Amino acid sequence: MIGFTLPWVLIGLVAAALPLLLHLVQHHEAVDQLFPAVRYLQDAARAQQRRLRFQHWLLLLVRTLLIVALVLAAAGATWRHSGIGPHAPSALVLLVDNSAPSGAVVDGEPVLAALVRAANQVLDRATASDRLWLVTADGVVRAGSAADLRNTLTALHVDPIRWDLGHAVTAARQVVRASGRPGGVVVVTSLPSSALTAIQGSGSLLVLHPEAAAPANRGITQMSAGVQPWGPAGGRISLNIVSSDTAAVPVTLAINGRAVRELLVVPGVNTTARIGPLAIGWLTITATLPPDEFRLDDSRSIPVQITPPAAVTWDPSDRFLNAAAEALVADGRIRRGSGVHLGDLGPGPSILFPPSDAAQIPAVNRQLQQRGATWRFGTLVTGAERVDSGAVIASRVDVTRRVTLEPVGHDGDLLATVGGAPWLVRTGNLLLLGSRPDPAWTTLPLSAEFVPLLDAMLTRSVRGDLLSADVVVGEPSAVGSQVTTAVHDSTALATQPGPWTPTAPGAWFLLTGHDTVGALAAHSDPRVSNLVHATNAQLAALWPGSRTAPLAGGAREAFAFGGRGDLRGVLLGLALACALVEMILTGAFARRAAAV
Amino acid sequence: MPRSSPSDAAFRPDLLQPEDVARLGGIEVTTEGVVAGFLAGLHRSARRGFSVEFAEHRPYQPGDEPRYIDWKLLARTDRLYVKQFEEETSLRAMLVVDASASMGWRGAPDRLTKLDYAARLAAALALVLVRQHDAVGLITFDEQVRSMTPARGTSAHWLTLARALAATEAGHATAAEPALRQVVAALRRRGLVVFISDLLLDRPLALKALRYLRHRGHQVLVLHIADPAELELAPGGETRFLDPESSASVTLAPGEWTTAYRETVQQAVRDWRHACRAAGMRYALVSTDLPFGTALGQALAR
Repeated sequence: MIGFTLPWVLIGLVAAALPLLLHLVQHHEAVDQLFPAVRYLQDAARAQQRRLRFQHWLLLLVRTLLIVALVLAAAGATWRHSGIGPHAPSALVLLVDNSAPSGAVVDGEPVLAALVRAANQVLDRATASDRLWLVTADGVVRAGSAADLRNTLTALHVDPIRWDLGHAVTAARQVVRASGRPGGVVVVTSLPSSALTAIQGSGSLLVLHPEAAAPANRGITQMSAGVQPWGPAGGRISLNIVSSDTAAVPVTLAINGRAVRELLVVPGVNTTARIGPLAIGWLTITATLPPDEFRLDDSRSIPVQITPPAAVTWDPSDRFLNAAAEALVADGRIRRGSGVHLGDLGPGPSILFPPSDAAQIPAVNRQLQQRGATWRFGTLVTGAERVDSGAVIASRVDVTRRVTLEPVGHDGDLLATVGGAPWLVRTGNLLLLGSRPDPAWTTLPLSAEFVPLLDAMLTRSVRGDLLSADVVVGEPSAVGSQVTTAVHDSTALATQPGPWTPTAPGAWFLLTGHDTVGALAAHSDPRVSNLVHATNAQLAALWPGSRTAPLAGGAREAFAFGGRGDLRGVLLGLALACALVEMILTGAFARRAAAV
Repeated sequence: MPRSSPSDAAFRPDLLQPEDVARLGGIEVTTEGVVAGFLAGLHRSARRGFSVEFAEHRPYQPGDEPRYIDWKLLARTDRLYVKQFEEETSLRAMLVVDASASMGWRGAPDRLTKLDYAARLAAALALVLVRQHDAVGLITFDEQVRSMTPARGTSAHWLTLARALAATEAGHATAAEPALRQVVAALRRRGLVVFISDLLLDRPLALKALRYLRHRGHQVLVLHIADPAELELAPGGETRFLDPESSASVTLAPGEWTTAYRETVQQAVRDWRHACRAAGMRYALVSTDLPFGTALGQALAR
């Protein structure tokens, strides 16, 4: 089946009728001339008519063929068979998988080096008339010549992220389709099964992948410091690893680079280890496995904040509140003192509940106004309601009585809602809860959520510190508008308001000016530890219609989009041959006609 | 091509320019066989002894009977002359000129039409014959006999012939047979028939009539008049060639047919030559771009 790059040029095929029209016009415009020896002409015509008619039709055919060949060449004709001439002018999107799995080493060579070599071989087969794009794990679509893209490939390094290849192929197909040319997508990848997701759209898809099996791998897939901040007594680290076998793996724990403990971890089994006592401040805890062929997941770090227990004042007569506070004291999470007022408004950080007597609400509100609070208590609302969600409350809690919380300014954080209405808010160093910790108001004091909530409110929320969170490298995370700098090892990156994306795994400390206001534990997607190649069945199921080829030598398949070859060279050669034949025939016929 | 109009200078009654006449000085018309005539000399007579009245001397030519050599004159002048007698000037020639439409054509403006050329050729030949004291007549024809002038041998008769030729215009189609039958009636004794035509006629019929003349003992000379443009097709664009004598036409690009046409014409000439030779007739192709004297000399050369 013939295809065309510029099908509108085919309108020029009407020019193929020119020789015939000229032939007819010449006959039509014959000049009359008296000539007595017409009988000789007739005799000659009778003898030569067949030969001359053959000559005419032969020349007509050659000239028509010449025009048709030229028009078809101008239209960029392509043919399904790829063996004819070079490939047609094409659009090719080259996906080079430099995501985390490409950092593995196979037979002493980084996988990425082999991928880049294969990608360069693909680019070697490109022609100047091709349109090329290069997409790597960062998702940026780079257009350019083959030379430009080779330069990009030369500087390519392993990006410690997981790349959703299905999503990338779908986007690449859109690029090809938008180009308006025949083309396809070539994916050069180690083809980890974890990266394979379903694709959409249609079009040629060639997958170049290593033939060698993926190397065995062990990696840390999960590491957590639990609830932070820790107290000086320390805390517990939990971690999990994945391995190609089930043998226990020795793990070294280090604090700020100094090994403090070793433990054996069974793959797939969550293991905890206590670390402490620790000095006040921020520190980095690192777990390290013995090195293997894929180093990226052999080590994992998390930032941990060590703070002294909050000094808390509370009303011991409040039965449920007192019990929870005493539990926290017993656990070392808080101590008695006047640092934080729990249940009433103190001069410093305070956690306020609505007064049991609604008549006291105006007085409390006046005190809040004096403190510059941007929230105040409103009216009493009764009825069966349930906590929707919140930053500090994970489970649903029933609420039967609550006092509405009303904003009086634009500042403040909404931490939990009931029926869509504010229920737990923060304004400055004040936390306002819409219900008293009393079963008559809410089931919160009866739930297992109560003590952790109280701990979170006393140790984190009321202090206004950012939570220490786990984030995935390469994925955007909300760090708060007050953060100006993110520091990783000795590298400081300025942040902009809005989501921020960590670029390397490890502990990232978030600063406002010179003050550390939070930290993030950035790590690669745990799925990248699974280096096992996708099977043909997986490929057929998720990428239907795709073709696969080995890295070595597979590049020759890159431009065989549906087996199409460029016919322009052949057609131009045919046109040239036709022109030569026409000249030769015309000369020969003229010589024969004029021969003496 | 247009035929020259009667008002052209070429149609003066005398037809021939002085230089043309001068070229005719060395030309003599002889017959290969025996012809019947009144004057002896160039032509052997089939009738001997009717008259021995001396008429004149003429230079000896190889083949003349030695008995007619004037020995006395040889002794005085050292030159060979033969004596001619009245009863031996017996050649009667009939010029049969084709005046059909095709003869009124010329291939270039600077050339004569074939008819004009044939008229001048016939006039020249008549002049040669009259100078030899041969009797010469004229028949013009197209599809029928257009005019007929009986054969006479006087000098004044040449002017009659010349006027008749000058007055001849191209007619219609060609049919040689009636004219040749007329020759049979006009030449009761064996003589010379000069058939001047472009031969664009019915060849079998014409040959049949000519063979009949030959059968009757006449010497036959066929002068095939052709314009150079008929012998060699000039190249050009697509052209519709129209036959002036019929509705026949053919459309073609002359440049592509040059060779084929030339071969066809040459074959036609060969056919005529062979047919004439086979019948004991003489044939000569005369191109209208040749001077009459040259053409006549070539045509009458043995």
